[in-house]
Amino acid sequence: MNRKMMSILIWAAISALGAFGFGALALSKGESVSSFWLLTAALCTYAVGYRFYSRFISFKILGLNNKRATPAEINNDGKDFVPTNKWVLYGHHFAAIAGAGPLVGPTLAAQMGYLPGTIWIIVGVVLGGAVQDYIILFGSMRRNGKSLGQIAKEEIGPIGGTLALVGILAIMVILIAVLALVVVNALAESPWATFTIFMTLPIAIFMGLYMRFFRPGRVLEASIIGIVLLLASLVLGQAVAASPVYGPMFTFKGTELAIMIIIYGFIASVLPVWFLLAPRDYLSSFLKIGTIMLLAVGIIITLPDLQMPALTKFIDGTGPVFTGNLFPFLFITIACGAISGFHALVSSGTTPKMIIKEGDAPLIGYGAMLTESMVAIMAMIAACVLTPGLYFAVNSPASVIGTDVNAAAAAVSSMGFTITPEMLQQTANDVGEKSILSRTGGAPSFALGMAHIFSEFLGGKTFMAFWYHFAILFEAVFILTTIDAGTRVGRFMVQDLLGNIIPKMKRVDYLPGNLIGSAVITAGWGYFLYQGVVDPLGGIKTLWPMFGIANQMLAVIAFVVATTLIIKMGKARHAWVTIMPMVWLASATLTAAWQKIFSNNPAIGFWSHAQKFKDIVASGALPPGAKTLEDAQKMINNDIINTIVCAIFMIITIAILIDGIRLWISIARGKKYQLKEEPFIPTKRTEGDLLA
Amino acid sequence: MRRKVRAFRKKWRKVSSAIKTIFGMPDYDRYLEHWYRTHGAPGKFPMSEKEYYMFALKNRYESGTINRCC
Repeated sequence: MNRKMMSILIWAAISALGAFGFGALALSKGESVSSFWLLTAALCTYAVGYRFYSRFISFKILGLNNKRATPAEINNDGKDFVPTNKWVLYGHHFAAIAGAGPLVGPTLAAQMGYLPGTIWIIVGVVLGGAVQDYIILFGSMRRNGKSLGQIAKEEIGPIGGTLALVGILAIMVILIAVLALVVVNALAESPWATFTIFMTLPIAIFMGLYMRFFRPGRVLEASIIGIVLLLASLVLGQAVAASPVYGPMFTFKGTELAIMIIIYGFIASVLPVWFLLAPRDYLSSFLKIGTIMLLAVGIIITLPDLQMPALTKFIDGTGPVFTGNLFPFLFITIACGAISGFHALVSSGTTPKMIIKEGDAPLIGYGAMLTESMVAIMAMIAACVLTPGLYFAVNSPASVIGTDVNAAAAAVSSMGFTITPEMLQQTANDVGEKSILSRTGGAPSFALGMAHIFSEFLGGKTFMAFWYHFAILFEAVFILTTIDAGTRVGRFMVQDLLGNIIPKMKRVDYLPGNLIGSAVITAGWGYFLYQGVVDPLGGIKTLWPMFGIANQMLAVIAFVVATTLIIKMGKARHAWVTIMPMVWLASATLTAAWQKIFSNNPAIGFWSHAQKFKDIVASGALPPGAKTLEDAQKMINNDIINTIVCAIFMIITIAILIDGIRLWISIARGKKYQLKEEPFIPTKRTEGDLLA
Repeated sequence: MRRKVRAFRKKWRKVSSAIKTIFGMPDYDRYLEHWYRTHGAPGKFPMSEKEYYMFALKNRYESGTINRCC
């Protein structure tokens, strides 16, 4: 009884503290607010959500049962099905879901002020993202580790399954393109960053040879050597950039870098995995987790003040970073960190095959997603510790602020965020770059914020340039790993599709299949990447919303699957748990896609943008950014293709909703459908294991 | 002293195994342990460290499963 009282008191205190944190954030009037309140609001909400909401889902809906044997126990094959300690598995799952997404989205969303993005990240994850990851993980665990596509096919029907597959392939293409664009924008005209990233290639290849021939299988050794070499090339990069001979050798324009990345992606997908992909993956994994932990420590030690106001005037949809109103565009700009449909693919991948007992699932499914949300909060802090004027100078495209510091300072100051040309130049000098203007895509802005935070407790101003390039390196390395791995997975999907016509194409080791599959998928994302690089409006403005729409479309699919599972399990009265986020996301995604296509504002709608350009061409002039008639025609064609892609996403979202609702209605009318779970097998683990 | 070294080794093996699992790296010790527990028979031999390494990479990266996110 006493303990119960204690628990009630503690949780009441945590809830009150969290509410107080939100209050401090929302009510700050003009003066800057400490990031302490952001962290408090987030952590307290996560704690309450984990303790109460995930437990409600576990016991009232899913009915976790520790006496039921998991796939890891039944199939224990030492390969995919390996019973794994829950904390190790939590780490495994977090390492798999955490990528560049939660760093980019919040950075872009900061243009509306810290408050809207923060609320969406925190509320979205507790009621949406973590719920999705957890229920799909659970569903896959009860089905021997089946993938989202397979579950959709078995539980909803062949249409749902096919839609899920097409959706997954489409999102891969857009995802890789937009991430590659982030790297291009971070490396363009920056010899230091470019040199460091180039060096990752020989380092990774050396690691690959080391692990294959010199010391077979010694992955940790090789990784440590790799990281030391990487840091050495980061230091060396400064000298290379300053050198009059080597500096220009590593200075490239965006278009050149884009073509290099496209060629790289193709080659990396064709090469054997031990040579490049696996060692690069190890390098980026260590760098990723290490940097995230370092950033967390940095923020906790320094607790920097947020310079960005709670709300800016750009909630009206006229912002320079992305165009469009708070609803729906905030909710597709921040996907990872709040809700990311892509996680449903990872949650139905390797993790469910490694769970020892069902009771571990909430920590892994729900808990790991809360941790990723924390990463998004840190990215929000990193964006908001910058002077707002600096933030807008870095994140606005050149078409808005011009290309030199004087024009940029004037343009940004006229937005209402005062900044001087000297401050912009000083910041560029501090981080060892020629210019920091219009480095859109979030990575440079995040790197500036991180350098700002780190330089306060490690090394001071002299180290700022080092930290800036460290952050760029860290983002670029794991984005390149995503490009490698994503292109390869996409290649398998293409080969699989082609295999329906020519069976031989399905074979992974069939060289023509390999080459054709790689070429198709690389051409797909390469097209969007190149279009983004030459886009005078700044490609991020076009591509990131499309990625957001695709990602949230996938989340709608995942929620339709999750709702179907809940209804078939006979828990229809609790189905609001997944229907609520599904309705919210479906309305945000569909509204966004609709506006992207049909909005009369050429800054938002692809169609009216194409029309505007056609009118300009018809009047005998060239639209801004186009040098020839051919350029202008290409831009118009890009708009048409983007319209088609958005339309496909809309159609998939609507079709899967209709397919799901058809099934739910027929269940409500009394028709019986079998839940396609694996049969119950009692666990052989002893009581001692159960307690462990 | 020797006991301490052995205890340290045991601990390190646990830590390194956890790191390898978190990042999806091949874990040869775990494979051997599993092999001897389940497949061990006279006249049969487990894969060498090198063979296992190549096998595990293929299994992780060439099966077409999506194991990372944005």
